[in-house]
Amino acid sequence: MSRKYKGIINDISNPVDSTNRFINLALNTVGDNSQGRQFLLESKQGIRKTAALLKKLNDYSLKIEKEIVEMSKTDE
Amino acid sequence: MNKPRVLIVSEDRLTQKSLYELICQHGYEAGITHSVKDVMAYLDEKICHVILADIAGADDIEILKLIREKGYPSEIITMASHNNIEDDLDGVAVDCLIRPVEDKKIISSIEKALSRVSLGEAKPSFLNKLLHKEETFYDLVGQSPSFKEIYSLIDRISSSKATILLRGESGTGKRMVARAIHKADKKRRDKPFMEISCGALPREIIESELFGHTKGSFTGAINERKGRFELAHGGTVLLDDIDSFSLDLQVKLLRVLQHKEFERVGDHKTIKVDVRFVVSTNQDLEKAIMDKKFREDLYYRLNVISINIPPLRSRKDDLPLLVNHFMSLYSKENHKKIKSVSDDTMQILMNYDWPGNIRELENIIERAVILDMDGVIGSDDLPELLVGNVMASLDTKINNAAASDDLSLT
Repeated sequence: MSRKYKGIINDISNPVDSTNRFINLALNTVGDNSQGRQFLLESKQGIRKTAALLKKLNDYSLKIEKEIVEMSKTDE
Repeated sequence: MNKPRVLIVSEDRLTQKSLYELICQHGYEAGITHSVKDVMAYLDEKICHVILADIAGADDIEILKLIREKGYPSEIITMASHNNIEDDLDGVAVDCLIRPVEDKKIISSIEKALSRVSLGEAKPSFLNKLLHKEETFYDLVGQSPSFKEIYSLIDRISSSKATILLRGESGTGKRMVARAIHKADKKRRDKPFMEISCGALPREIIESELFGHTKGSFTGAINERKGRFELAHGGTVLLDDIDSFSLDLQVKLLRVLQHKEFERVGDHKTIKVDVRFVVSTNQDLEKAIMDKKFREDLYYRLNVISINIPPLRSRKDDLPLLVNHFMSLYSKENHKKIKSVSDDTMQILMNYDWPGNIRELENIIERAVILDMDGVIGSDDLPELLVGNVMASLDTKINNAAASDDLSLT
């Protein structure tokens, strides 16, 4: 299950990370008070939320992994 | 001073593009490869100061370790989605970035990496590969002097248009050498590599296969079809077992080799192609000429550059390398963890004559990997016939030696 989580995290992290980078690049090209900037900053909020969810999922997968390792040690 | 070059390694197109833009905006040159596996080929072509590698799994880390060991003048930064890979990296990377990663962090890591490298334009080359004692050259495995000569020859002829004649016993790896020639050719490596086993194609369809045909040109030609020469346009064609071509087909082939042009079966329109020809044979072509089975003019046309591939028995220095190569290949394929080959098994393999050359060795190692139970390939994992042959030949040698001792005593 932990491995599956890792795969999902990896697949989602890539577009999240690069979309965030594209938004930053776009922000450099729009005016300070433009509506475009506002929209981009809103998009950035969405990306941040997704990134936070990914972090939670990653921590959870690591926790499961640790528990499995400890359980197998106890079994031995 | 040269502009520092950063190599972006990622399978993900969005990641590639976004990093490329970011890196170029900060005044660096950027290059892209799709996977960690391709990095070494890139580094052999171009100097690169920083490698920014997206890590997908443990295999990628192993390759990065190998790159570090080879001593390329580049620093490595890794990117991953998990924060538990740092231990596995074992000091391979200057920085290990965990996604999502801020742009500032990426740029500061690149600056940190650049502070460790010299920005001089040392030229990575084939000779560097040899100096670094690379065990493979475009997937060819071997370090024996005879094979190093072949590597050097491939390196020199890679950009020429000349036809190459590969000669060697069956199973010596002529196809692999042909592929290496194709990969070494910068202009053609991304174009098709067309392998044609001349002996395997039925006589009736060989012309149509090679040159193509028009609709209705013969019974069964229900559609127009491009031939293999046409399909290989821009790339390389390997004509395997060239000696099995009939004499009339040899005439047509001679024209293709000389002028790079031909007509489809049933058509008068001449088609021109840009193709590099590599031909191979395990027969004695000079004898075939004497026997009137092979055209002399074609022979001279083919024999512009000839590469003789030595049999395995004459390059046994390479045997341990080849054994390890096939062992790791088939361990992966069969999901097995084979650690090594026992000393006595290696001795048996070294004492065998390998009439089937590398093909035979590959089959023997594949079999041994599948049969092995304890992670170490032992003599019990080898075919009885092979072990028996080696033992019998050793007995003969011992007896002969003893007999000569007896004679010397009399």
